[in-house]
Amino acid sequence: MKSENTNENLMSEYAKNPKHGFEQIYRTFADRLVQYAVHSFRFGAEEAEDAVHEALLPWVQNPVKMREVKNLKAYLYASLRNACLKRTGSVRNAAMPDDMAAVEGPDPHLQADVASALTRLPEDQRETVYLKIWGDLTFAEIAELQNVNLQTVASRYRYALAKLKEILQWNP
Amino acid sequence: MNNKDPFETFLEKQSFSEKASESLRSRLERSASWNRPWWKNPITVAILAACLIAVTSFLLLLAARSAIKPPVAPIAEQMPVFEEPISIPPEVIAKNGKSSPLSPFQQRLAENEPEFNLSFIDRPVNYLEARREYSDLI
Repeated sequence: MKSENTNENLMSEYAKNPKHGFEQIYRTFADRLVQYAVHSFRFGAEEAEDAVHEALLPWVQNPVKMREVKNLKAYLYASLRNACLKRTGSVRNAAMPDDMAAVEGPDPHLQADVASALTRLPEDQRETVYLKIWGDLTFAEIAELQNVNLQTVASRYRYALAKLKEILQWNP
Repeated sequence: MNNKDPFETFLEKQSFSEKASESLRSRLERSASWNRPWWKNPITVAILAACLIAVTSFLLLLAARSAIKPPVAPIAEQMPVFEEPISIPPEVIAKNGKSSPLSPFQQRLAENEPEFNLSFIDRPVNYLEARREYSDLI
């Protein structure tokens, strides 16, 4: 609910003042979008930023059209997903560069392990678990994004979590 | 009711740390419509310039055409339209056997010449003399 309010506020600000509104959108989502491209599509830093640039370009070029967007977060992820899918043919399986590996945060080693574990998941499961946990999207939004039904998304998520637990040897 | 798997919470805490670089932001800023007003758009400026040139040329052309006096073409003199002359003499309505063209009234005047001498008409008119000469008739 809080996230929805934030999205509505961002869109409201963007509609009033596109320049200022876009700054806020960028501040809120740019890092997360880059991370999505890196960890879900296994892009390198440059390729990830190119994809994010392509996804965000309409927001700076055509504010009149973009202010009609209803679900900001889902729209951004969907745009980036499309941009990434256009690039996947050649780079989806590229190894993550060292400079993009997680080096900060609560536990850098654990982050690296999680990032590494994600790469071992099938593409659909990896994307599903990423969008659910770090993208903060609902199952319904993910289902719409991936053009599959809700049960499929839920199953992918469940399998992904189980596999990650196994890879990370998670023991609470 | 919070039925969240502790593993999900654990994963959420392992947020990633990749950052969007400053170059991405500056690339977007360069492309932003608010940083590229229409008068800085070369295509818009080119179109406007072309329109301006076209309008100016048109106005100059109009001015040049109005400045040149058209040569005065000699107007061919038009002959007045005459009705075709009547070649056949008018039909004589009444014939009395005389060849005199005088009407009966004129005939009477001619016969009574001394009394109705109108020859003064042919003479230069001197009003005073005429008045004196014909005072008895006036």
